[in-house]
Amino acid sequence: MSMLWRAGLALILFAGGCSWTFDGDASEIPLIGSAPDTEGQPHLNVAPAQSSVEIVYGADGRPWAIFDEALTTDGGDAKQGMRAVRVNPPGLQETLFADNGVFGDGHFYLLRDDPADAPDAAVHLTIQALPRDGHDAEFTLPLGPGLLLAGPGDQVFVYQVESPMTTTFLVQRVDKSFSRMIPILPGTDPSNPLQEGGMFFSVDGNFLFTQDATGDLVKHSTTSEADVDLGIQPAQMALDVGLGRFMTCGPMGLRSVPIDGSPESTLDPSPCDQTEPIYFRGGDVLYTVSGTLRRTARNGSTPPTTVLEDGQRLIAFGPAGALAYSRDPQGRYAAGAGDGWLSDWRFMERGRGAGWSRDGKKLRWLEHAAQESGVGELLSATVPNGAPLHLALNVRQYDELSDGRVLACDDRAFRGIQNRVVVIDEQARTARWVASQAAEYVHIPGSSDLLIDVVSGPSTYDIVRVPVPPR
Amino acid sequence: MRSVRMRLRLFALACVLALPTVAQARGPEPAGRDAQILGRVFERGSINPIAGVRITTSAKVSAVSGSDGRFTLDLPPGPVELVLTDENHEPLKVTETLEPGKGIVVEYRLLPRQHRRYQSTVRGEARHVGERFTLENEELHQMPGGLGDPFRAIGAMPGVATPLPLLPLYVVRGASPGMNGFFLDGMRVPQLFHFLLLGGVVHPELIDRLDFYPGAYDVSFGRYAGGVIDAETRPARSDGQHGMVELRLYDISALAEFNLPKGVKVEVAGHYGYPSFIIHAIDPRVDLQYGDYQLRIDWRGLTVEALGSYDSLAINDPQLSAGLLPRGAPNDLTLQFHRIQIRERDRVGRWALEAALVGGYDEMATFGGSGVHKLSLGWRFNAKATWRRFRLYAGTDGELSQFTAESFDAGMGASAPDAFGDLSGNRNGIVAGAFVESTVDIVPRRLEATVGVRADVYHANAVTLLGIDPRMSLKATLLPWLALTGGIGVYQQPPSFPVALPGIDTFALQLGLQRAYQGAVGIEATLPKDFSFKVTGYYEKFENVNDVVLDFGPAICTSPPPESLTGLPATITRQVNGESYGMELLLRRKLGRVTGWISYTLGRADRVYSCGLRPADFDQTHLLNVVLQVRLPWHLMVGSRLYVATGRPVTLLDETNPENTIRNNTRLPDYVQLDLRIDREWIFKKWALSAFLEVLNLTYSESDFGLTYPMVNGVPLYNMPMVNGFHWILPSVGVRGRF
Repeated sequence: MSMLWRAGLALILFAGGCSWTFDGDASEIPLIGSAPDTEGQPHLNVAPAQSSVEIVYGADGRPWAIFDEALTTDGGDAKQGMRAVRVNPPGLQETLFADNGVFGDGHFYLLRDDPADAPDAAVHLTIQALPRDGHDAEFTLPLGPGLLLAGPGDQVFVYQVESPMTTTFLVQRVDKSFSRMIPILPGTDPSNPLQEGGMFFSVDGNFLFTQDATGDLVKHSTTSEADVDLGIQPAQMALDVGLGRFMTCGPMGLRSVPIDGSPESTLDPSPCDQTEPIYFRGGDVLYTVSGTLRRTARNGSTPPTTVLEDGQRLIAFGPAGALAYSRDPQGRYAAGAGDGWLSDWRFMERGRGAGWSRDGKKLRWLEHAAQESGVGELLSATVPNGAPLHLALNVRQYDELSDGRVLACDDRAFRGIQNRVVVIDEQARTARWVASQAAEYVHIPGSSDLLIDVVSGPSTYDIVRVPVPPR
Repeated sequence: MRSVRMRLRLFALACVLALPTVAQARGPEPAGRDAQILGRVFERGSINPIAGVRITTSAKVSAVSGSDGRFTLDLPPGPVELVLTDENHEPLKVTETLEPGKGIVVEYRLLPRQHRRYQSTVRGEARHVGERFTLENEELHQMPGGLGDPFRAIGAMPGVATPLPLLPLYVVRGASPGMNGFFLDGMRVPQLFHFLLLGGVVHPELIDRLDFYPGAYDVSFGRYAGGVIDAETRPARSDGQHGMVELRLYDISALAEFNLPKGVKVEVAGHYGYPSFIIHAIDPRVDLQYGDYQLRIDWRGLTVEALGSYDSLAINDPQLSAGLLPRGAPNDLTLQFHRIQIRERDRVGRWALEAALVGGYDEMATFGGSGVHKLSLGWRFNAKATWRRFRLYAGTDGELSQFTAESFDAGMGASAPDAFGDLSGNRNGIVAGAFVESTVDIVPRRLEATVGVRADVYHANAVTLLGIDPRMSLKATLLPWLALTGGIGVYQQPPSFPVALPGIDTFALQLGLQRAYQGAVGIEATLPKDFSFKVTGYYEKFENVNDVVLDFGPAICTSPPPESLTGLPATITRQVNGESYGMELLLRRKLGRVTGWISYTLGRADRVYSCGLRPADFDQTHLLNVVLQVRLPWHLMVGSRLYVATGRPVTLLDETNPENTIRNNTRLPDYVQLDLRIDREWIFKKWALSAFLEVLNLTYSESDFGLTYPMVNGVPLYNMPMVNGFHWILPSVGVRGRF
């Protein structure tokens, strides 16, 4: 073998196994720093948390973190319960068990069922403040399943047994000063009362509004037997708290209906599309007529104007009256995804979660998010017509901090230890770690810290408080 | 069993004069006082004549049948005994009585030998160098547990694990399932089975031979880092026209072969599946149907092939699909692919040349109306030259492809086109490779060395990959019956999906090439009575491979998905390093009344997870296959396959500290499966009828998939794990007619 042949062979063997990658699409915003040991930080939970953390306001007006946890009962058994931890200021926590429950306005509504075969079986409702103040309200109610609606300020609640045999439902003041039974809404299925009808409280809880299957809207007092019939109204309505009236959208157009029963007024006689929502924006109301989005003053002081044409579906409000819209119909893609336009600029191909930056100069959105998880690529572009900048991939949630940086939970194609929370500085073109193994985050009101759902097991979390690194 | 013969006897000349039409069929007038026999020989159960049959007589006169099966014998009058012999047929002895000056016209039908299969047919040297396991004839089509499909036989080969029963996820020597390549006549096959579980996409009778290369093969195979399965179809047979129809419980297939003028041979085949009527007995809302077609035309060295497959699954109940699909979304899943190949093979001096062009169309449309379709144009050119002690082999191949993401039923509902992430993105792909290899007889007929190198380039979107793979092998014939083989090399491929599906390739190139360093050493002995024995040791080291996740239980000790992947690939794919090693034993008999093989593999496949080196999700330490086929009298064949495998690893969560459990710390129960197949053939004059019964998992064994934990009071009890699995048994019965 000649030397040249040997050299060639050696070169091939040396180069063997070599591969080269030339990637013209490499990330423009690198993630700098090393992953923090978020899982090793102190936890709010004692045993593994079995749900994501939520922030609620307690009866003390403070933010509390609540989550499910496998607690130990007095008998020493493990049972799923709930833990509540005050996060601002910290220092208090409570645990509680229930068969079922909801959280109202600073109070837990805890339901415990008697065994079904027990004589006179009933469901026991305890309305318990957070933090517990020793003044729990206890009620014994007919055995369910039942519909429970908590009123504002936890001053009143509604309870209806969901059964074909049900003929009335209960309206109960929590201080037990008054209660009344109201006949079930005409035309509705008592085993599913909200499918054809509607119920909601006034802001102060002194009234309960019901709407039956025919559209008849009635205002019921929760402190007396007085009722006021507000007439047949469209199903699409919104309560204008400021003006003390309903905005209704139906065949008779956009109408203003005072809740005190005084005469109604028409803001726009054109038949209003009941399948589209009503929006309040400043002093205006936006509504849909024959596919077009119109805008008029809530007090009727200005005539209606068209702001989006037929086939343009509103997706985001911008500064100075700017509206981002989609030409894809609702429901064309999973997770509410669709294209996005601003005037004649198509900024989004097939995404969701579009919104303006705080300074109004950029649009951000999740691109290619048409999948059940809604996860997409976080892009940012200068308004108008800016080229999109890739910020992060597989983003599930994001929002903007007060300093203009973007907080995002990315690498979230599915729940796992690879999930993370990062803070992205578009100006500096860098991203930095906030938390590792982070499936989700919530802001702590009144603080710059976050609460992180740290993936700790196949379906469990550790709830960890982390600061957002400063700029 | 004596063959049955049929003969025609004509009357004397006087009768012939009275019946002119009969005279047309009468034999010729022999010269003088001699008699004459005009004969024709056919195969029993067929309409085709047999050439080359030797006819000897007691009058010491003999003849050989021509290409049309005809022969002529001039014989003295009186009784004469004829014996017809042919190596592939049972001999036939008949006695004819001849009258002076007269002739007779006869037809004889010979019965095929029961043992004619596996008698070696030399087809020329193998196209590829490397250790190889070959299946032919009845092994391909009647292997117990194969459901008549050659590609299912892969699961019974040494070194092959099937961690999920019934699914075509093949783990070859510890390599990930997506690293295996499947070729048919040089074309890469995008799908092996209809809907992954049903029949093969190619008519089994078309496949003449299947070679399995578990590893350490030469550079002529490229762009795969695991094992390679290379199948070849055959042209239409030269001995006339043939046809076959087969009917099973859930599908019907047919094949026809034609010999046309000018040496043109044509073969047409296809399947149509109708399992819906069985499925409707369980659930009337689900419709399933499939079909495939193949066409092959040969003329001298030119071959034109067309093949394709179509699968459709529909759910016809909005409530059933509500939990699976976005509201109003289309409820069909369809898979289809089509290929057309024009290939020319020729010899120019010492050079054997092959050139081919392949056009293709693939489509995958999923529930929800999303999917992808792919247009492709491929090429292949090989040249091989042989000198006295030196062979040179070089070639190039590649493919241009255009992938288009589709919302196939836009406007009909909430489709999820991004669910498949990188798999369904619009892109144009280019892949190309070239190789050169030389084989030297260092010591003639004793020691042979093969050295080669190949380079492959891949491009899609803004990413380009380049890989260079050197490989070498040695074969030493120590004794006439004893050989030693060894091979080592680098094997690289682009990112891959764990299961072959149409339209799913050339994606996510930003992940870089998967790489395997493979080495194997084997000793093969040829034993008496047509037995052979082989022992092989192997080692493979993996880098950057795309593993499929089988166990989603452990959330901590795992490997994260590649950051740049989205959608489904991000959910099921991990990029890991690892290794595998093991030993394979193979005892085989290919000829005779009793054939089959016993293969045992002792192996280990490891992967590097975040908690260190652990067994891979699909590692199965012990694999035993015992395949037996016995030819009994009355054209009866009975076969069985015993498969025993160690359970694959799973993670048993530590009840006291579930989040810190080490991955794959226990194993599912071992698995034993017995398959049985019985074939019976009746051979009539011009056609033959077969009936077969096959039962998979006659032992009704439970296939286990993982562990689950009960929930009490909303709390999972990790101290009470339950194995998640189901018992199953799959019978298949059918009939086949052929001529």
